[in-house]
Amino acid sequence: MDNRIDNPVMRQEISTDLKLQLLDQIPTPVMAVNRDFEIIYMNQVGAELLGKNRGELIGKHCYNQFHTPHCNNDRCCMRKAMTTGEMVSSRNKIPLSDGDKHIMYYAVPLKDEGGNIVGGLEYIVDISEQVSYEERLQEQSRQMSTPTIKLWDGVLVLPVIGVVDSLRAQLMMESMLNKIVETSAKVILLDIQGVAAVDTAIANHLIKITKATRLMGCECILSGISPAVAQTIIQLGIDMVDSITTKSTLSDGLAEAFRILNMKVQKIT
Amino acid sequence: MDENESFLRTSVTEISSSLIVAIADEMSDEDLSAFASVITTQSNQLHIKGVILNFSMVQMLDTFSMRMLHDVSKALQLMGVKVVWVGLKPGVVISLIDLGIDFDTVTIQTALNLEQGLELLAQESSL
Repeated sequence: MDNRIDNPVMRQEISTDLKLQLLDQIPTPVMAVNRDFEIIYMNQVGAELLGKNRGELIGKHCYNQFHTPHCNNDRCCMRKAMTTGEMVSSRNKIPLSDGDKHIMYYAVPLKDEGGNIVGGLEYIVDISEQVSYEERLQEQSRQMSTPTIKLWDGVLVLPVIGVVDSLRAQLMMESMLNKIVETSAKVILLDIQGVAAVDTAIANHLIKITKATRLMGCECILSGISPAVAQTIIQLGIDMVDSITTKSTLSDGLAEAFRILNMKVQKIT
Repeated sequence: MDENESFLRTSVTEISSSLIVAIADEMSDEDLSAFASVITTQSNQLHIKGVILNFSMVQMLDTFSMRMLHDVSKALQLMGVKVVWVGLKPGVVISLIDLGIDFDTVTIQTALNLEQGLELLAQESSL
């Protein structure tokens, strides 16, 4: 075997002989099309994915077989690969009888001897595991991102941990406002102890949230402002001091909440 | 009397020199301007001390209506009448914030519901 491969003539022979078999044996769908998107090659796994015979797929338009959201429009990677002459890849999903299958597909152009693009080759990787894991993670973080807790009669607290982006700020606002209605809270403490860094976007979100709670007749106190965060806010020139009540710790915030509610904590003597 | 005709869509109740006004959902521009003039004249005639605007029926509020109501509230403030907005729904608030409205919480007070609004007015008058 080794001897045959060492022989340049034999190597040539083997490679042409093995080429199609190699593609056939790849355990992931591989397909080739001509410029009109007619299937000129489909390996065994690809045919099995579609539940059809390899023979009957040849000559058919690929977009009539897969029916993905990218099919027969400008989002198609194969089309992009054929126009640009480079490899293009993207996420996609194939609608199958047992639901959508999430895939990653890679398309490369096929060229003739003159370098003209005559078609394209594409292979598909099943990423449904990865996608379902991502979705689970997203759902988990969505639930974890908005825990509005009733701390006292009329006092709510929302501890914020991690990064605040627009989506999360929106979810936080919704969760807070609904909880305010539910519990008839008069004060809400927004604790940003767990937020490592505050930039203008986050500050803007926080200001928006405080405005929203005020419209509901609920005072919003921003607590847990660390020295570093306080300095950044000032350096960024964000005017937070006038519009929002701010405290450095959650306990200071709670004391302020009691003051607003005309309550007092006393030691039993 | 045409003004009153269209304004009759909203209910106005007078309780111990306070007006409780229920804002109707989807008020037209004409309704709003009629509302503005009627509410200011009534407050003046009846020697009203506080006005509560109840938004609990409102499902949607555009920026124009918001500004009209804001202006009326400020006008009432000028006449020495306390104004409290109550019962704004979370959905309405979120859309207003997204539209970037500037609400003057210093002069116009807000409360979650009618009960808390009345408490606020009672506090003001007892001072």
